[in-house]
Amino acid sequence: MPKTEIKLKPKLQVIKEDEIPHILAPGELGAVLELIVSDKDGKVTEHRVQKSESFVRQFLTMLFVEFNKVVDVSGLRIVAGNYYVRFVNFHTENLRCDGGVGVTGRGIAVGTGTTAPDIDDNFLKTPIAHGTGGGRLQYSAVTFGAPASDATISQFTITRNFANGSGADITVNEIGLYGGAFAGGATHDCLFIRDVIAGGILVPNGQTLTINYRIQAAV
Amino acid sequence: MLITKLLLEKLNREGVVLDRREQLSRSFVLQFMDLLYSKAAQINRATRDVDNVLRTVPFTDTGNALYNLGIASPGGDASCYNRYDYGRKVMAEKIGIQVGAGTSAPAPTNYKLANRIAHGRSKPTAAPATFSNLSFETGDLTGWTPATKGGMAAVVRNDAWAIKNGTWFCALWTTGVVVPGDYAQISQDIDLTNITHIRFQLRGEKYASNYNGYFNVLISGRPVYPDETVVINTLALTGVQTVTFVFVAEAGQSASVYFNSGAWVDNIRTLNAVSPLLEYGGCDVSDFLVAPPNAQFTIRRYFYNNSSALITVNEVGIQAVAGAAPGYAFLIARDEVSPGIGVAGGELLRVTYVPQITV
Repeated sequence: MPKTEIKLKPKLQVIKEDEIPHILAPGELGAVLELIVSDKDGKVTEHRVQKSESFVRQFLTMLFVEFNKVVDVSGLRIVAGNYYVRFVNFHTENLRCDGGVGVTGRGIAVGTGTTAPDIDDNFLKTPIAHGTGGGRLQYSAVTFGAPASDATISQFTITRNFANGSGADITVNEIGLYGGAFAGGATHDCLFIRDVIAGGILVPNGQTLTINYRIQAAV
Repeated sequence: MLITKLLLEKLNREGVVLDRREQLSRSFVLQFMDLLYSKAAQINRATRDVDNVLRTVPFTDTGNALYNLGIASPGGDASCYNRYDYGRKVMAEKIGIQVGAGTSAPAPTNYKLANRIAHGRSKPTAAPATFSNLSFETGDLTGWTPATKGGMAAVVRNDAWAIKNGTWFCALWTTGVVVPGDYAQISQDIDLTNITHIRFQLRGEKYASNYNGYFNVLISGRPVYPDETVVINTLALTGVQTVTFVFVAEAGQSASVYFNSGAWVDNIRTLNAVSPLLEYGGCDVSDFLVAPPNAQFTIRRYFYNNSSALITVNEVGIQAVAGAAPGYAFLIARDEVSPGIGVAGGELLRVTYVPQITV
């Protein structure tokens, strides 16, 4: 089967006030997870909006580092991939999620794992690689929607497209957000959020999955 | 999901907890999203500081952006986030947990506390000295020292149209022919040490024409001057001082036309209205704990009331440092405390935020 040409590109935009989804309870800081499957003409074939359940401990660790401006959190576990990152310190690149085209280790990533999220999760259980080969999805660059607010919600949006040009349908069961943790003169990427999608979401061959993480705070 | 617990504990000097509140913080506001967005997207972001100035917060250039989102700070008026090579210097009291007296509900667009209580010690708040016979209710000038010249007089009267408080008032007015420089006054010595303001009620005339009118200020038709608002600021004054109320003629007048022109004073009060101040301790970020499925850490600050006045805290918040050198304070969280928590002189308030995630 010929490889499918993927046309859909992410847009950088400020969400309109009346389009801000209200799912979080007052006082919650979290993310709204929006999943959109579109065909090659941009027609939406599936659209889900749900509360993201699972900041993992590393997000809180990095928030702690940035609030506290500490120079060594070797006592706090940060794991990038499958190795420990020591001496994480405050830095401008901490929490960066701006993964480029094909970069699976930074920004939003997807996988097929179905294991329930755990606070100690360090990576997606079964990540889907970038590409057009079997079982692969094409990772676009991560884009961002600038912060906005309405009467009760403030938010910004992280977006990434995953185009299926593999020649076969792919079901995405887990979604993660990776971001930067600076240590030893380099930025390492570690998992901040992991969500498991009940029943998975099917990305038919030739179609594109767009994932929006809307980071929100509700008063 | 992340929620934040907010604890307010009032303690005495021995550390005994006198009052304890725990509530869910409702809390993070737009500037927090701006600063998080700047880091996540690696992009400069304009956001509003606590002085309502839109500041462009750089995401890179280590000297300027390195401290973005910092909330840990030393106490009081120490400087923090110093970088001699970039000139960053932020007053510690502006960074970290804050308290205020404002009572409005939090909103995502809040960029400052509604009525922040600043760091410091209030002027001693012992009861202010009071004027003797402050409303002339003795029916005479007991306690006051009158002095007059020419056709002016200082007299206590009970004309209903001029009374502001009680039954009597003091008139400083013409009783005969006056020439420029004639005057009528009353004086009294008083210790201003604990007095911040002197407030009195006044009614006065001009003598540009033959009339018996007076000056006033109306708000929505309600007269507010001279009935309420003649206030003299004495914050900078201490010790025993002579306070004099005087009416001076500026032009000659004939008794037949301008009889009883002048000013009327009444209800001369002393106030101690210093803005309440609390001493800000350092803002501590610590105690990272993981107990699956939860993880949390603690943000804490002590506030000391070293005045004798009761200070009521109705709002709390968190301010973070960010922006180009010298750095600015940005409100990232704000909470209402209802009912307010009163902190008496000599007491401490411990404010603790506990961000917590649960998987």
